This record gives sequence, structure tokens and C-alpha cells, in this order.
Amino acid sequence: MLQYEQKAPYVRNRDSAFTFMMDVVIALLPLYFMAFYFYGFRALMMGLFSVAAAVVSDVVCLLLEGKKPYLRDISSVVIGMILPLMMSAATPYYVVVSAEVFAVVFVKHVFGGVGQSVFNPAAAGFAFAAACWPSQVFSYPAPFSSLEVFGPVSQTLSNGPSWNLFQGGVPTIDVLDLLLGKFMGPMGLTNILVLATCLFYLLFRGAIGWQAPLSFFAIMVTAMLCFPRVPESGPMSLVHEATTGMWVFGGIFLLNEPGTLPKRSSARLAYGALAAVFTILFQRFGQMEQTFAFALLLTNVFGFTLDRNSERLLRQLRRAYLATRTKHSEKKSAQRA
Amino acid sequence: MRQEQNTVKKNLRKELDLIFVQNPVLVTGLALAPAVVGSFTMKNGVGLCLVFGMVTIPVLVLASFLGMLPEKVPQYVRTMACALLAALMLIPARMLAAQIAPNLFDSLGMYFSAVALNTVWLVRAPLCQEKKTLWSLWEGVCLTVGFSLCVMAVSTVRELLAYGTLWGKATALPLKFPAVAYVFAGFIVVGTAAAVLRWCVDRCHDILTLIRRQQKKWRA
Amino acid sequence: MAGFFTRGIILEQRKEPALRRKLRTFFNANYAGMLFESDFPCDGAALAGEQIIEIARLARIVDERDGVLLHEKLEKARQMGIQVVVGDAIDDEPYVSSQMNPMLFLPTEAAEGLRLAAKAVGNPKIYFAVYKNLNDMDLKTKIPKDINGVEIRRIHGRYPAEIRTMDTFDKDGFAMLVGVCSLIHLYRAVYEHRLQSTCFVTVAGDCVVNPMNLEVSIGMTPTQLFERCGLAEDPGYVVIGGSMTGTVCEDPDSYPVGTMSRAVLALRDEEKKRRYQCIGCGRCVEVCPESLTPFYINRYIELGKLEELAFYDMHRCIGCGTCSYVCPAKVDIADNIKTARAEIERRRPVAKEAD
Repeated sequence: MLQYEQKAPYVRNRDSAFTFMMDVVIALLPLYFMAFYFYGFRALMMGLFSVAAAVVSDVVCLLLEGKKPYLRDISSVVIGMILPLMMSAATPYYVVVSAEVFAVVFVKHVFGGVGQSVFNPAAAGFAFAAACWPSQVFSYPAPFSSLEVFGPVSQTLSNGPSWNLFQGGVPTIDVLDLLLGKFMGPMGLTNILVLATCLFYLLFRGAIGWQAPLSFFAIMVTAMLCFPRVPESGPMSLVHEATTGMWVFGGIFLLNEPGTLPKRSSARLAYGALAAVFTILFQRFGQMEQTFAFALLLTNVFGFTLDRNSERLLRQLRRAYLATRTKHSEKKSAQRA
Repeated sequence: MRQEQNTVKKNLRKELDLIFVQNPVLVTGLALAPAVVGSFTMKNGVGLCLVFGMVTIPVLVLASFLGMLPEKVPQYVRTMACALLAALMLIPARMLAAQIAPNLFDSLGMYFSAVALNTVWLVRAPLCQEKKTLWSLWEGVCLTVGFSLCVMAVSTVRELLAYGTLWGKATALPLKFPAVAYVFAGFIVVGTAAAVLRWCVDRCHDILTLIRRQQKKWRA
Repeated sequence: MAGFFTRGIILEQRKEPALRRKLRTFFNANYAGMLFESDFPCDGAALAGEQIIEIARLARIVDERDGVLLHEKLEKARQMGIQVVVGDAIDDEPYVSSQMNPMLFLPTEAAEGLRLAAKAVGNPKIYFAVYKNLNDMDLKTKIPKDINGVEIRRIHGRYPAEIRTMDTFDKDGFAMLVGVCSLIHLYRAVYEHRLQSTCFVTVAGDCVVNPMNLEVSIGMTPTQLFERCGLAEDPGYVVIGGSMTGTVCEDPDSYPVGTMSRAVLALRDEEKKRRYQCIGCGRCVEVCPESLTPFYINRYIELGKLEELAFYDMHRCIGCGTCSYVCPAKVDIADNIKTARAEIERRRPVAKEAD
């Protein structure tokens, strides 16, 4: 007898939600490799703790809701992997774990679970951590310094080049070092060449749509080139901003989170543009050095409205098309009659 | 005589519901703004409850007196009279608040005065016009108790999590989450409190139903 | 609509080996004796248009694609002045080839049937329409360019192709689709005075040993058909109809196969088709051929807010199942829409009474 009721269609695409999310996990692995290369085992341990905290809180929440936890639903693993990459490698473990628990319980499950949350859980977790412990999240160790895996970190931590930009100065790091990511910054965001590879992998696999990243990056790059934050030339400003800021990583992994992204093409283009505008505004007038997470949380609010208005526009187009179609067929029947 | 006693009991019981089952903040969602924004330390919480009590109880009593006015007097005039009394009651409230903690008024800021026009009495005053003075007084007391329980619970939790202190004195808690003092966390804590309250009320209801069923069985 | 070439999905056709095997017959009734009484001559050339329509009525021929009686269809076409009659052999769903196979193995009957139908309508242009399978590298059957002098036009595009067929023939004039199987029955009705007592079905699926196309008596059961073709294992479930739009057969021992069945499939119950919660990826929106938003339609159906569905134009849904096919969370969107439609229909009279 049937285990559960089969409904049409009876052939289905081979891809499942599991393969879809595994693509994102695979795209994040090179970033963890880079973090390990720069900061050693502590980076991997942070990732491990974060994923464990996310999975445990996810399971607890599912049991409280009365649902059965399903192993192949790895959305909490994805959140767990994204969050530590935005923080410094020397961040204490309790920061990461608290941010994860907040993200999974209060942002993902309270709003409805997988695909239903209004806000991006990883961005909201990072925002929580940045609001609670800004000094821990934003002080970075130098790359290739050996960090203790457990216990307090003995290396000197200091503000990174993003702090310089925030204050209005220009970072004095060599361009090659900037491009290769050999400077003090968030654990996984510093190497933009690897990030670009991840972007192309995800686009090729169809795990993210092309519309939102296109409008987002187009507007961000134009703004960096034409209106630099600090007194320097356009292209140099772009290099500095892109390598030290969180928005390249955010535009690939945070912006395109399936639950929060609008579904219609035109709405996605508008969403990416809106996110870019908010990011630029927060950069100019914000109170912190890395503000993409906050800008994204603000953009998430408009996701549904953009979809709704896009649908309204499409309805008008549909009706206009149907009207021309009926006129066409009426003309044809009149011709023969 | 017995009928009167029964109505008295019924009314008493109905107002007692306001504390838990019909809690003004957690169930009906009135006076949400001060409860969410102002309640991040215990001292602030006490200040809020004080203002609330000193404003709401007299206003509801006044409302029951205003019920004796002729029908011609429009509703907005009555509401304006209540609002005037509420604003006037802020003066003794502030004096009392200074006794509890010197800078209470400053830390609460505008929310101290905003409690004067809280939605709790705005909603319930027109209903109190039909009641006797004693019942309005009792309703005001129950509302204050309900509001206070909610605000004190929320402010204790928030102070503990955000600063690791209780009434300004440090505790041995190892971890602090300073962001809990912000408004977004206030919403989250109040929401969680509402969920916890509903769960507790449901469980009490289940237990009471079980007890009643057993009693029926014993009687039969 | 916009996105003609990009909307829809490419499906693995899985039509071999059923398509290249010769059409076989499998009767359980006295096929030879099923004739109708008539004074008409058994010669198509001697008959006029109205007489052909009368013969179609006497033979009770049903078009297998839309269930309309053939004589009604031809009558209406004659009145409307149809300019193109197209023999519909578009099998765009996987496994199904019950229109293509009879057309290839009974070419005379198909082509002559089409000419008779054309005569009945008023001698318009005639074509056969066959789906140009996009994704089958091992399709061993070569589709010829014409069948007994009637040109075959290939329909391009992704699944669902049926709805776009009319656009292909738009340039030629006002077109009408008639199923190929009903044309074969029309030929037999005219030349042999035969009633339609049989239908063409594809018997296929993971569990069938010898997938093939069969001409069977109407009313035979799927169990009998599987006995004819052989089952490798007990099927998980039996589907009547196409693999994208068919229905599960609850009782294969007694369900009567009919003209509209088109295919009988024995499929394995694969455990990999798990149900996740909708993850909001939006792929259903990208592929919908009618440019609808299945994500929101499904969400409102699950929330029970059926009033919102009018905004999303749910009534325009053609039930192709593309959204369910492509969904990574295996949500049954197409089925939910079907259920919601029935629910909305049920609720409507109550609202009128309330007024």
C-alpha cells in the first residue's frame, strides 16, 4: 500500500531542497578553507560551535512545535556556517553561540520556520552580536598569528581597515594584500577573489537568481566609483570598499536567502537596488563600521511589498495581453463570417 | 439576597480575570508602548507601575461618576475630563517617583508622561460609566495589578540579561547581552511573556477541567 | 505570454521502447461484430461532408484529448469556418505515446481519417502536429516528414506544449485540433461501419517489463493490461493518464480503461520524494507557463485565505503541474490549486444564499 498519498505530477525534478542547500554549503567551504589558512584551527572550531548551536536550537524548536526534526533539512546548518564568517576570528565562542541561538529561535522559528521568516536569520544574528558586543565582534587579529583554539586569545587585537574607512581615513595596506585578503578583517570575507568564484558557482548551479545580485552590485560599484567615501580616486575607493566591507559577501549569501528574496524577476531587481541604496546610506550615516546586516534587515521588510506591486503590474499586463488576444480572434472569426 | 451575593461574586471574579486571563498588556495588547520601551530595569518598571496606578485608578473612578451626567453630554467631553485628571495625577506621581530613585523620571524620559494617556483607560473608561464606583475602583486595582505583574516580570528579565544586575546590585551571572536593553528585545520579551502566559493559562484550564470532571464523578 | 521560449520545463520523455514497438491489439470483446447499421456506402470519396459527420455520430466517436464527441466538434468547426484541421499527435508528457504510435504504425488510417475530417469541415488545410522532443538523445524512432502525403509539423518549446500549439498554426489561419486516435476510428467508421469500441493506451512505467502501445477494448482493467505486458515488481501505485496530469488508480482490478485514459502507468513508490516545507526559492514562479505566482497561491491556500487568490489570478491556472515538478521541496502545488478551486466552487452558492 502507499506510504503517503501520491499526487500529480508523478515525475519530479531530481533536485531537492537538500541539494539546493548543499550547493550553498559547498560554496561556503572555500571561505572556511581561507579562514583556516589565515587563522588556524580556531576558525574551524568557531564554525563547528556555530553549526552545533544552530542545529540543537533548531531541533529543540521543532520538537516544541510538535514537528519531527528532519535530517535532510539543513537550513540551520547553512545559517550556522554563514554567521561566524562575518565575525572576527578571535571572537569568543559565547558570542557566536548566543547569536546563533537568537537567529534560529527568534528570527527563524518565531516567524514560521524555513522559507517563511521575514528577516534573514544570519543577518539578524550578526546584528544582535554587533549590538551586544561590538568590541568583540569588530576587533581583529592579524592573519597568520597563531590563535589559541580554546580559552582567551593572547594576540593583540585591533581595528581593521574598515575602521579606517569609517573614520574617514584611507587604509595603508598594499593592494595585492588587499586583493588576496591578507589583512585584518572578518574571518571569511577578506578574499574577494574566492567570493567571486563562489558567486559564479552558485549562479551556475541555479542556487541563486541573477537579478538581485546584478542590480545590487551594479549600484554599489557605481556608487563606489563615482562617490568615494574618502578622498581618493574612484577605482582605488572601489578596491578598498569591496575588500574591507561586508557587502560583497552579503550580496552573495545574505541577500539571496530564498525565504526573504522576492519571487518575481522585476521585484528582485528592485530589491537588489533597494538593498544597495540602504547599504550606501548606512555606510555614510551609520554608527558602526560594518553595517550591511542592518541595511539588509531594513530591505527585508520591503520584500513582500515589492512582490505584491510587481504582481499588480503583471496583472495589468496580463489583462492587456488577453484583451489583444480576444480582439485578434474576434477579428479572425469576423473575417470568415 | 442570594442573587445579590452571586452577582457580587461574579463581578469580583470577572475583574480578577484581568490579572492573568485578560491581562491588559499580554492578552489584549493595550499600553504596549510603555511596557516595551520603558521596562529595561527594575527601577524603571516600578516607576511605570506607579504612574499607571496613580493615573488609571482615579480616572476609572471619575468615569463612573461621569456616568451620572445627563445623556446630552457628548462622549468626547467626558474623555477630555478624564484626560485632564490623568495629566493632573502625573504631578503626585512624579513626586513619589523621586522617592524611589532620584533619576527615574530622567531615565524614563517621555514614557513617564506617555503613560498618562494609556490605551487601558481610554478603552475601559466608557465601559466604567455604567458601573458603580466601587466596581470601577476594583477594576482599576485589578488592571494595575495585571499591568504591574507584566512590567515587573519583563523588566526583571531584561535587567538581568542586559546588565546582569537586579535593582542595581550586581548578580553572579556570567553572561550579559547588552542589546536586550534596546527596544527590539523589549518586543521579543513581551511577546515571549504573552506566549508563556497563554501556555500557563491553558494548562491551568486543563487542570481545572480535570478536577471538575473528577468532582462530578465523585458526586455521582 | 512574455517568455514564450523560457517558461516551462524540459522533461525527459521516456517514450522508448514503447514508441518504436509495433502497435498491438488486446481485445476481450467481439471486436469484429461491433458494427452500426447504416445505408451509407463504405467509401469515403462518395460521401459528402454532412454524411461523414452523421457517420461519426452513429459510430459514437469521442476525441481522446478533450472528451468531446467528434461529430459535435466537426459540426461546430463547419459552422465556424475552420481553415486548418490538425491531427493532434502531441504527446508532451513523459511515458505517453498513445497518439504518436498509432499515427506511425497505422499511417493510412490516420491520414485518410484526417482527410475525411477535412472534407466534413469544408476542405481546409491539413497537418499532423507532433511534439519535437527536446531532451531525448536515445529516441530511436525517427519521426518522418509526412504521413501518406500529409505534412507533419513539429511543435517546438518546453512542456507544456499543448497550449502553444494554436500559436504555431496561427499564420495558416483559424485552426482546430482533432485527436489522431479519433481520426483512425473515423476512418474505420466510414470504411467498415465500425463503432468505436476500442481505445489506444500506452502501458509503461518503472515496473512494466515490456512497455508498449496497445489497442484495447474500452472497459478493460489495468490489471489485465499489466498481465499482457508483464510486471517486474508490484507497482507502488498505478496512474491513469499522463505522468504530469493523471490520477492515481485506487482499484486497478476494476477500473475501466476508456478513451480519455491515454496511458496506464505502473510506477515505483520512491522514498526520495520527501515532503519538505516550502523554502521560498521561487522556482515555481520562474517556470509557470502562464506567468502566475504559484508560491503565493500555494501559501494562501495553505493558510486558508482563499479570498486572496483572486488577486493572483488563480483561475488562469491550466493545471500543467510544472510548478510541482520543479519544486525542490516537493510541495504539491498543482494539487493544492485543484483542491482550492473545488473549495471555492463549493463556497460560492452559500455566499449567494447569505445575500
